[in-house]
Amino acid sequence: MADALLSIRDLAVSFQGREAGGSRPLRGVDLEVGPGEVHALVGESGSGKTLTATCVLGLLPVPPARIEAGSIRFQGRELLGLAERERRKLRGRRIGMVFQEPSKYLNPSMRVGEQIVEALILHLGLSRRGARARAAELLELVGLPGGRQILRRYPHELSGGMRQRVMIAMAVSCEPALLIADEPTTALDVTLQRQILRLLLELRDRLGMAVLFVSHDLAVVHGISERVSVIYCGKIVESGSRERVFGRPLHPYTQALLASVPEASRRGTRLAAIPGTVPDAAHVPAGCAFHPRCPLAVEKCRLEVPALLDYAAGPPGRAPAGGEAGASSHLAACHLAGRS
Amino acid sequence: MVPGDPALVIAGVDATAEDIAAIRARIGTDRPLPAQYLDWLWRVVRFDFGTSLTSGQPVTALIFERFGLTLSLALLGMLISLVVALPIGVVSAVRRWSFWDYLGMGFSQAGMAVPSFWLGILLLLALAVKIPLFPLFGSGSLRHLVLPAVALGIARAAVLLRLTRASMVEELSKEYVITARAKGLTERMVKYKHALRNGLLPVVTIAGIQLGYMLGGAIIIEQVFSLPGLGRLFLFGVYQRDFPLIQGGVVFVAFAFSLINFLVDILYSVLNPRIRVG
Amino acid sequence: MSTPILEVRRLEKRYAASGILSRSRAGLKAVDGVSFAVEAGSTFGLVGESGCGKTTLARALLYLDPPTVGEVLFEGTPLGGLSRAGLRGFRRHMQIVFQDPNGALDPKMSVRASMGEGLANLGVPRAERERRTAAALELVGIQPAHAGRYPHEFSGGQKQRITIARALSVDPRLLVLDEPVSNLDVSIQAQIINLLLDLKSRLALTYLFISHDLNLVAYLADRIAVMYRGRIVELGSTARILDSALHPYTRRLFASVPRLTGERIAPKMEGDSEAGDSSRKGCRYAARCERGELACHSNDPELHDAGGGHLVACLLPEKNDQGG
Repeated sequence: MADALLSIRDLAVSFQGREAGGSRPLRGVDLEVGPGEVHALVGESGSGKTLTATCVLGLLPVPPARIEAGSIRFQGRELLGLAERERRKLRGRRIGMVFQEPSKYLNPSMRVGEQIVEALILHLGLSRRGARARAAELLELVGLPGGRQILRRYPHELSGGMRQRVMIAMAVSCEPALLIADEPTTALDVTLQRQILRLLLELRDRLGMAVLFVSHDLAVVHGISERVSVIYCGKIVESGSRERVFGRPLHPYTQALLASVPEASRRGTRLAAIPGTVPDAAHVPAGCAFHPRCPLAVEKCRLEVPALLDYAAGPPGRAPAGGEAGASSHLAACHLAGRS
Repeated sequence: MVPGDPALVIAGVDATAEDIAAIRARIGTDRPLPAQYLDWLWRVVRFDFGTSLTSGQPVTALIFERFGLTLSLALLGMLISLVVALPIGVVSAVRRWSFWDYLGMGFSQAGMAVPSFWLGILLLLALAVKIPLFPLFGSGSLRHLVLPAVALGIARAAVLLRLTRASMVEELSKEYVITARAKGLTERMVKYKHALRNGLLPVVTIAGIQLGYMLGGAIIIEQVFSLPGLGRLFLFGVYQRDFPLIQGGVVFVAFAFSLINFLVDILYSVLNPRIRVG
Repeated sequence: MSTPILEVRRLEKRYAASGILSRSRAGLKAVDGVSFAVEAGSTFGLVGESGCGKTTLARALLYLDPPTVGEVLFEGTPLGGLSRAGLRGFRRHMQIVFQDPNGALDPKMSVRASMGEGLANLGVPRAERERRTAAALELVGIQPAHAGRYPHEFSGGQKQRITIARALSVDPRLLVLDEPVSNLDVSIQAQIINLLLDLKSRLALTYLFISHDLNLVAYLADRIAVMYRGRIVELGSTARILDSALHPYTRRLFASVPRLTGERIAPKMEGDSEAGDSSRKGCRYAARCERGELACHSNDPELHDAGGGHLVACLLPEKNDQGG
């Protein structure tokens, strides 16, 4: 899709050094986020989902990390190879980020107001006074009435939910085109989780920004996303609309993940657990990375890395992902997809 | 019990047994130890450390007469130590494993290994004898204090430097630093506005304790530089078996140490909003 | 009716308020008068949000951190009256598995040594300890040949298997599972849950399952108790709690849970629900409750039977006859 807001193609990242031992946590990620779209990136720990987000922000620690190949286009502009100065202008301005644990990701010795205001002054050139007024508005916007008083507080004086709201206010302060939310509700209780999810959707509607929602929680993703990409061992294995991925999953990994979630409706039945463990990035199996855990694996899966193809119209058209993948596409990287 | 009888020291070599007994009765060392101790304790709570056996002056007066010099020495030493340790420590942390880091670490190793009295003697030889920039001995001006303060401060700086570096390295690896970067702040702002403030917190505490140690640790340096401070006073007291002076000195230093720690705790709570009361 | 395997009566756990200027003299009540019974062979789920006191309750009922007030009966025997040695003997019947296996396993001890400790405390001879350790590891799917290894050589899921094996090695009848899968990946969670289900039927175990994951508890538990601010506000069979909850908090809690079925979440601006502090006197949920009336702010509702063993602590319980 030519008008994608964010288009990641074949992004590969490796880690050098003694400990990492030449691991490749990203082995060619393809991801497209359309303008205003809530796109969920789902994966288990070590799958590369957070690392992908880190690359988009340009916060990858180089070295030990190294971008080996690929491209990240944002608003039509290639980000890889862009000067650090230019990337910094995008961070916080065009791309905002919300992290998992607000208690750790806020500076403990700085008043909340100062932490919100600094980006406003830096990116929008507001005066300190103007920035404070805007910060108070932002706090109201994220559901913290009486924002002026909260500006003066320190993070530890706020509850967990309030801190996450502050974090969100910071991330959307310059009205970015893309908000990356990395497990933003994992540390929160369910009632708060729902409030924060609703808030993110509300902000998306009001500010017209796209949201890249990084999560391991399929149920949350089901609740919030419009499109879903599933990542395993540093490669997207499936990508499509929420309805398609949850309703007619193509990849055995997606299918297995969905079947392994405990829910009241599954009482009395055994969960379909995936055998084995997620391989670490230094020892990714050859061929399809999922084959040792896959119940359907055949010889080809051991030898050949499957390409990410579009199965939306039935038989796989050989359109590599990221290419002409439209909003209605349903991509999967599996030799057996669509054969069942 | 401490060997040595102050009565013998006061009486001199050719005193008779009666003279010595009389002196003992006058200074109270003929009474049972528990009685002496209780008596002393009662006076201490009233800030009365008695009179020095050798000079006959009140111990409190002697201490306060000398305290100013020792305090200035310790404060100046601390200032030098901080001025050296903080920038080098921060640079070492920010440019970890760089040439500057190794240089700083090397300096820190050396600073911890070199005894301060030896450094003091070297400084005297170099900057007072060979190149007479500073006075060789005596007191009364800031210039007299510079070399002893440097000698005293360098060893402390070595410790503070390591602490500053370790603390900054830790802060720079914390999550809020990522948030600061994600906001698009410059590296300078990330490091010096966000991380530095948190990184210096533990340094404040340790520097305070160090200051307390310096009050007591100035003894040797005062000896090397012939400075008439508290250290020399107490050392003199020890040589002369001037028990009231020694006791008064110990209590005074302990009190000063506690007071400094108390002040540092208050300062810490001002700097760290997380432990601020109310 | 047979004696329940575990019965908790009016259990309270207070913590002395720290600081000279603290407000309450009585101290903080982390658990405030909790009563329930667990039938042998069942899975009893205890749910609630962070800070509701569920972990404190678990520790108190095992006498790891004895309750301030109240009784805990194991098969009719009050634990409060036992000597230290007597309690140690009873511990073999009630074991606990914690959320974080990294905290539960000493990194400097081999698996064999970690597991042998508990058995040695019970006076089990060495050869028997070896045999039981191996059997327990076998049971949870860890090769007994790996017993000489250290915790860091295992993955998170394997470590949790080991802590489960350790708990099982003393042949307990009741396992308290405190968020046992919360730190694990989705695909590993299911493995451990299946393992727990297998073990339960094979060894005729009773589970007290504590979790904030409502989907998981709804999947596993026979009965569910919902805790809010140190109290049980509702207790009933899983079906009743899921389909016809009486307490507004229970309803809200289960309505908030994201599920794999159902609609997308609707965007909405909501204020911060944590903000309100409930009144000292009345129902502790009153400030957040959408149904709260004046009476709720002055009367503290007791947990009472609303029929069929479905207990609720609410002055204005939801009505279910309309099929709500």
